[in-house]
Amino acid sequence: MLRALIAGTLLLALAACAGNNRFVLLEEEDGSVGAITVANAAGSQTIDEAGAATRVGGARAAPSAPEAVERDEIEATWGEALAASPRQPRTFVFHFLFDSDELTQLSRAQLPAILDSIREFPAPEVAVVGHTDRVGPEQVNARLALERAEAIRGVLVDAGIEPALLEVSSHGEANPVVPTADEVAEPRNRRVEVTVR
Amino acid sequence: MTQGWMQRSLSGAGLLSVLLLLAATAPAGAQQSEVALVKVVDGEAFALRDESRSSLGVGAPIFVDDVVETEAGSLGLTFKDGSRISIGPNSRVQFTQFQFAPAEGRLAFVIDFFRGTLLYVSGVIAKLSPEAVQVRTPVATVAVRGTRFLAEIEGE
Repeated sequence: MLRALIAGTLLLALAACAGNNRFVLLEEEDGSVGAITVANAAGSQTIDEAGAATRVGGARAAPSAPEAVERDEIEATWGEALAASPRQPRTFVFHFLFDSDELTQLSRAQLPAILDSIREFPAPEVAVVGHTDRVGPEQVNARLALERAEAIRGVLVDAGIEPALLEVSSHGEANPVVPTADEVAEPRNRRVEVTVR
Repeated sequence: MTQGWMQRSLSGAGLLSVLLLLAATAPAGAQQSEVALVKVVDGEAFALRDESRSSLGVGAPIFVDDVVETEAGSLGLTFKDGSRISIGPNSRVQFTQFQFAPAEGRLAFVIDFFRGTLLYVSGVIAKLSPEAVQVRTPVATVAVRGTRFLAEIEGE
C-alpha cells in the first residue's frame, strides 16, 4: 500500500515535471505543414502534424510520442508570444525583358504596392536581392545578380523610397525559384526580389 | 625641416583621432553583426549585451550573441532572412549564430532558448538549408523542415 502510494506520488511528480517543456508544430501562414524533430541524448521525435506536441521531461528523458494540443491550451500558454509575432514579410518579384536591363511592365506595376507595404511595417526594412539562373560560373552570376539588384535599387529610389531603408545583396545562383541542374537556362530564376519586412 | 616634422606629427595626430572616432562608433566587439530588428514590444523587454542590460524599443537592432529577455512583457523580432522569433513573458533567448550569405554558401541560424514561451517562424535560411537551423534548449534541440512551431521551456 505504502509502496503503491510512493510510486504514485513519484509518477505524479514526473508527470508534473514533464508538463512544462513542450514543442508544438503549427501550420504555416500559407496553410502548408512542415516538420520539427525534437532530439536529446535519450531519443528523438519527429512531428509532422499541425497541432501535435511532444513533451520532454528533462535532458535525460526521451521526447514523448506526439499528442494533440487543444486550441484553448495553445492560446492560454502561448497567447502572448503569438500576439508578439511580427507581420509576415512581403516579397515582390522583378523580372527583366529577355537579355536586357529593361523591366517587364508587370514588374514596374508593383511599385505603388511596395510603397504602400512599407507604411504597414514598424521599423520597415527593404531587402533588394539579385538572383540568376545557373548558366555560367558561380562568381560571375554572383556579380551579375548584384548588378541587377543595384539597378532595381535605382528604380526604387526613383519611385520615392527612402534610400536608407534599402539593403542590396546578391544570392547569385544559390536561391532559385525553380531548382535546376548546373548550366540550365531558367528565366524564372533570373530575377530581383524586393522583400519588405 | 622643423616644418616637415610639424606636418608629420600633425597628420599623425589626425590619424589617431580618426582611429579613436572609429573605435568609439563601431559596435563593441568588432565582428558582431546586426541580425534582426525589434518589431513588436508589449510592456518591457531587455537586451543583455557587453555586461549591460538595456530596454528594447521598436526598431532596435539585435546582434549575434545578444541575450534578450522579458519579465511581464513580450517581444517580436524579424531577422535579415525573414525568420521571426517572438517570446512571451518570463522568457530568455540568445542569438548564438547567424549567417546569411547564400552566394558564399554560408548559412546558420542557431538560438539558445533558456526559458519561457517562444514562437519560431522560418525564413530563407531554413528554406535553403534546413540543417543550418537549430533551436537549442536545456532539455532538447529542435531541427526544422519548414516551418512554424511553439516551444515552452520551464527553465530553472
